[in-house]
Amino acid sequence: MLNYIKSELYRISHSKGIYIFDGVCAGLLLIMNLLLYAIWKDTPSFMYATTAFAFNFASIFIGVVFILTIVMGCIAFGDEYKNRTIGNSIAFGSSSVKIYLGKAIVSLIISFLSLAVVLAIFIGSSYLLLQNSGPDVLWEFLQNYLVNSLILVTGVLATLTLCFLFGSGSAATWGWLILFRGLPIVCQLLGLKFSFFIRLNKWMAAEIIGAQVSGNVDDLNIHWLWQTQDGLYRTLMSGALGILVFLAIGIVGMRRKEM
Amino acid sequence: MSEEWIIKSDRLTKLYGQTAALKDANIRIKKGSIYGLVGNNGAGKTTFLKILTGQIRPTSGSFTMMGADTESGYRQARTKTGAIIETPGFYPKLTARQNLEYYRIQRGIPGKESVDKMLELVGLSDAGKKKFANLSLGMKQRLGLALALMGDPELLILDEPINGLDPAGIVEIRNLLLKLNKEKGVTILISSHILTELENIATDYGFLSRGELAEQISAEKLREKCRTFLEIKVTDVASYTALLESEMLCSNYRVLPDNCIHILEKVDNIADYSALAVNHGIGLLGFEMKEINLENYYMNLIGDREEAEDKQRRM
Repeated sequence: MLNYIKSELYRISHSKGIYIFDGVCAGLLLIMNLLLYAIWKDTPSFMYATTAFAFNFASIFIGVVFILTIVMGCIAFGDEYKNRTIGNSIAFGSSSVKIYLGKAIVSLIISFLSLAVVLAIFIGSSYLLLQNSGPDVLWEFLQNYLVNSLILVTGVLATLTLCFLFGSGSAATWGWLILFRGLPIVCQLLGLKFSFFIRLNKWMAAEIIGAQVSGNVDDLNIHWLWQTQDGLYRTLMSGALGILVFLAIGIVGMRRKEM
Repeated sequence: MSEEWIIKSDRLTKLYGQTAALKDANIRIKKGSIYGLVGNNGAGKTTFLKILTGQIRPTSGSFTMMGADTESGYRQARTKTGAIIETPGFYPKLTARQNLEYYRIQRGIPGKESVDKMLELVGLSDAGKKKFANLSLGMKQRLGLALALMGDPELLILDEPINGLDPAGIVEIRNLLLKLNKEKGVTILISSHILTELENIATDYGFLSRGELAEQISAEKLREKCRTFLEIKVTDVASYTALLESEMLCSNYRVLPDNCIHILEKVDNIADYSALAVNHGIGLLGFEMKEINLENYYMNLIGDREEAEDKQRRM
């Protein structure tokens, strides 16, 4: 398993995909900070050139980060079926379950590293360019990512599992969008008639991640769902259950799958 | 572990729905041999190789590989196996060298220099920095061979390994395989459509037809069986074969396309066969003593078998 993980890390580190993805994400956040800085320099009374605004703004977009986990899963998958490379690994003695689990670990490693790099650039540039609103806003920003990390992990593992089961990144992306974006909408609609679906929807990752109880980015005072006891419980449980469900589907699916 | 067989299958069967891609195949491959797997498209060659390399699971039957007969045992055996199944698969955006390095790390093969050694061995030293997507078909095939050979395998499983190679490449790879077999005792299981090429290297053959093993024979025994035959081309095949049976009492013959007849039994006086046509007003288009080679042997074997099967199906 360790050799497989090492080889996958070698492959990903020698491919452009991950660097382009990290560069674009970090670049967009940097541009945001530069824009805030430029406006502030031009209009000193501009009240949003602060780390509080930047961090709140980036926290609201954690839902986008959730969708971007699709990219991480696809990078880790590496079009194994199309390239027929999974066949080589099996022919050389790796089991398909070991390959799946190896890729799952690698996908989490690269996701964590990518997030760390992008956030480091964002936080660093925020402190360099914007007015410092104090350590509390940074702590809340980091807490937001920490608490939602299990849901983000679910997103990555769901993509990878769907990639292995459907055989391609594009089919997996559709499957992911149907599961995480389409299903909550269906639940909402069914919830108009059946209350069970309203309760079910409350546990859907897409409904939990980035959800706010009150406030908005303008007043710089957002109260997040995870800051409530029930919200924190649902955030952690939904993420943990998602991880377990997708790992189980992946392992069982790979045991049955033929190349 | 069996002393003699490196691979031994017992009634190995793979069904896709109702269709048998491989049916009750009892294939025996001796350690240290070069086993040529011969068969038409859809005969079951790749299915057999895919089962051995773990790409698919058999529907029924069993096999041993290097003495192993369990999933974990097969996986262990596969770590000592090099394989190319169908077209070699690599990451298109990585270079040839990076692709080999990826698998070197994965297989835990020590020493980065083994990658360059393999590239040199298959004649790809200058193409190491080229992306896999930009390699020619022949180069891709060579890279596949390099991957299969990396890590000093005890068993090589090669599915059409000379596809896309130029004539010089074919000779080069043939010599390399012979060298590995003779010097390092590597067992080679090779499938190819190019029968003349198999004839140059194989020590044993397995003939597959419609998923079934039609015959398994050593090259030595095949040579003994391969004798001369008489090829006659006539204008009226039906009349000539009727005469063959009634006047020459000959039953061991085969009718082939293009008015061609192969007389497979011992011919004492060949002039009698030409006279038979001429005396009965049948035009003689060709008349030649030939030697049975692998291709003829295969065509006769498979032709007879498939003819009998078709006849049985019609009844």
